[in-house]
Amino acid sequence: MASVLQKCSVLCRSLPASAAVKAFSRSAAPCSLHTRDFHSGAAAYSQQLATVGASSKYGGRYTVTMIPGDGIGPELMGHVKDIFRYAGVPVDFEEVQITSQEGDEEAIENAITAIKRNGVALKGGLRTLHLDPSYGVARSRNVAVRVRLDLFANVLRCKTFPGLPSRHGDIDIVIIRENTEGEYTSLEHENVPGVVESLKIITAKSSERIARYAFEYAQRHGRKKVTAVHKANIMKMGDGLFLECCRKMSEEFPDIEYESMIIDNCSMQMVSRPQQFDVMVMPNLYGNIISNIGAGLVGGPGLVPGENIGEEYAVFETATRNTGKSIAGQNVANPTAMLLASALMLEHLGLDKYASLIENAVYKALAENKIRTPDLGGQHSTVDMVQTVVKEVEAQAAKM
Amino acid sequence: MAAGVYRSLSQGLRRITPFGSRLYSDEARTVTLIPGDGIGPEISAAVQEIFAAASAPIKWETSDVTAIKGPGGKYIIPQEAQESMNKNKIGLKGPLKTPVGKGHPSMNLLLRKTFQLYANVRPCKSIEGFKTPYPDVDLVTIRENTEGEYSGIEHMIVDGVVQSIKLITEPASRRVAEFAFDFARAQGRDTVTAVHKANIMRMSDGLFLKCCREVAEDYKDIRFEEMYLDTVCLNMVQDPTQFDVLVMPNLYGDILSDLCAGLIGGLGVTPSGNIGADGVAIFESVHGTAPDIAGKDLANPTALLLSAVMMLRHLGLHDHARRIETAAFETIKEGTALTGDLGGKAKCSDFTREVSKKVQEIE
Repeated sequence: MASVLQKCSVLCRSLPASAAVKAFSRSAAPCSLHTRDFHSGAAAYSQQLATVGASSKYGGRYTVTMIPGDGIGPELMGHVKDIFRYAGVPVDFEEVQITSQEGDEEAIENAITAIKRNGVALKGGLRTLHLDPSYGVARSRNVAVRVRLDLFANVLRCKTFPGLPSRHGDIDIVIIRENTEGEYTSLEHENVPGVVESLKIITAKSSERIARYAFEYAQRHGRKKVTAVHKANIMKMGDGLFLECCRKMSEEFPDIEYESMIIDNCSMQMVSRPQQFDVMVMPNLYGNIISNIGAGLVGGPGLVPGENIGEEYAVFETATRNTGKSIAGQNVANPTAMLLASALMLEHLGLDKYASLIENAVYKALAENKIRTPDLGGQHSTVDMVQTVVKEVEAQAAKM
Repeated sequence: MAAGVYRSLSQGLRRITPFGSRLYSDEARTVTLIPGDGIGPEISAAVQEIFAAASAPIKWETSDVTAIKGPGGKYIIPQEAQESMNKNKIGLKGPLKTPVGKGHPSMNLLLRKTFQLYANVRPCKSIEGFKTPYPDVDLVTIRENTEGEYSGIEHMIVDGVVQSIKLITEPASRRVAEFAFDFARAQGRDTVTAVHKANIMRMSDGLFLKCCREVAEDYKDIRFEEMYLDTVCLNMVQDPTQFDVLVMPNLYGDILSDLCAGLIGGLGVTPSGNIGADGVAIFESVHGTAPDIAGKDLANPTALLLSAVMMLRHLGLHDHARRIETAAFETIKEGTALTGDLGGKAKCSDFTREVSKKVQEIE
């Protein structure tokens, strides 16, 4: 506890205004010392978490853990490092490898220790070999990282990209997904052969925590409405508890409109009228579904970045967490999602001007230079996109 | 042993859904009709009118399934309705209202339990003339309807911690997988995709997937694929044309079938069928009873009509199905006789008359 407070005092400085990052900015309010008691309604809890973990700073440079992962992860991480170098970003990466191939727990332990040490990480997707019988019933390593580090909130913003065609009009939805419990507990057993039970756990503590995060996020970013997504008509106790926590939390934020929607109707609404949604909060599995629908609506898995926020650590990755194993090593992957994730990470560290530098270069490459990798229906390669971004970054960095 | 039981069940299904041939020689087939509540009666009447105009060999036996208190004090479907359905095997149902009141079960749940409706089938095909951002959708979702996340088994372990149990069993998974492949074969579809999250729910979805894989071995003429639920959602909203038949457990099915309904225009135009044990099949519209427009001749009978078309296909009456479906789609495309929910001002009877007229003109 004391060390966290110490870290907060290091960060307690006025951060530069992030007006440069126009449409996609998050307000960089100064970090203040609040208690971590999340039952006190007045605590600006999510604001405190906005820069959590950003502690590993030495000599003006930050150290961030990098987990390349499987599939397209390693090549995309290479590009991130290149762009950071061209932009002069004061971040060093400590690379830790966890691959699905390794059977040992030591690799996971090392990675988690490295993330704890540095506080912030950039991560690729780890493939879960569920077909491999030797894998046993150990849970997915992606889930292990999230649960061990208690990264309770998965946040992604689905916003229409300027210049990219889409079937729907302008969408701007923030999806906040509970990231540690629900259906992802991997608590399963076979009672008798052929009968399997899988447990979904919902706790009041986690539901309240994610609800508070969602409402405070909405308030901090000037969003007007929070929609809780659930299936409480069928799972009356589990989702009922989640819904009740959201409803109670909404009473502490009377200026934010609150509504609830059943997941199947929500899916239908997402594809017919997505403009009606603002901020959405939901348990784990529904979050998985809605995130993927949302990402698909604005252009696909190659575009949207995501963040996993905890009370002490933050891990940045692509929103839909795909490993892209079928296109690995072919120079066709879209680096946008990973580049934007790295920009989100920079913003989290307080390096706003570098964040805007990279974000603006990426949007320009998509909107003006019209770089289209195969997932966007074009013929450009990963390197085409990266080089375009690098050129813009170099040009703008010279003016900084 | 379980495998044997379900093999003979699916053989029974094959008899009922022969590809391209009629079920009985020239006799009309009696079907149980459950008009339902709210707009139910008027849309049922519309369907009957259109079927008569098409000379479809269907005899309707109307039934009322409003639950009554049985001898044990629990609510049951009236005996007469149960007998009718068990005799005819095939039913068409309008929207049902669940009465408010303590202890009254959901009507749909009651029907499901009474007739052991284990698979919910929703064909989603884009309707020309009813524009959505997704033209060219043509897929079918098949959802296991008895277990999974909807087992209703929940406990509060300690204060503030709730555990909900998702149940996956081999017989149920195998049964729905066999139906999915049978359906694909009978309807001439070439791919079945199993939708799952076995990377997270290794044992439960793993079991479901195993059953699908084993059943796929018996249907080498149908291509079998597996895809994670999130990947399906991601790809579905970008390019739904890549999907054909999808089979999945209960919750994913609930969500995906509604998602696909949203792609083609919503529950007002989506057909649905429920397959039960012993060859029972109940086709239904999945929208609500719309009490605000009930009795005013404003309702849209499209969903119930398309469900009835699905019923004809299930009976092997493909020619009549094609004619009625084409007539309905042409009427919607023409746009002069659209009901309010489709953006027009016509009455239900206008729409019905127009479709009836067209169906007689189509060869």
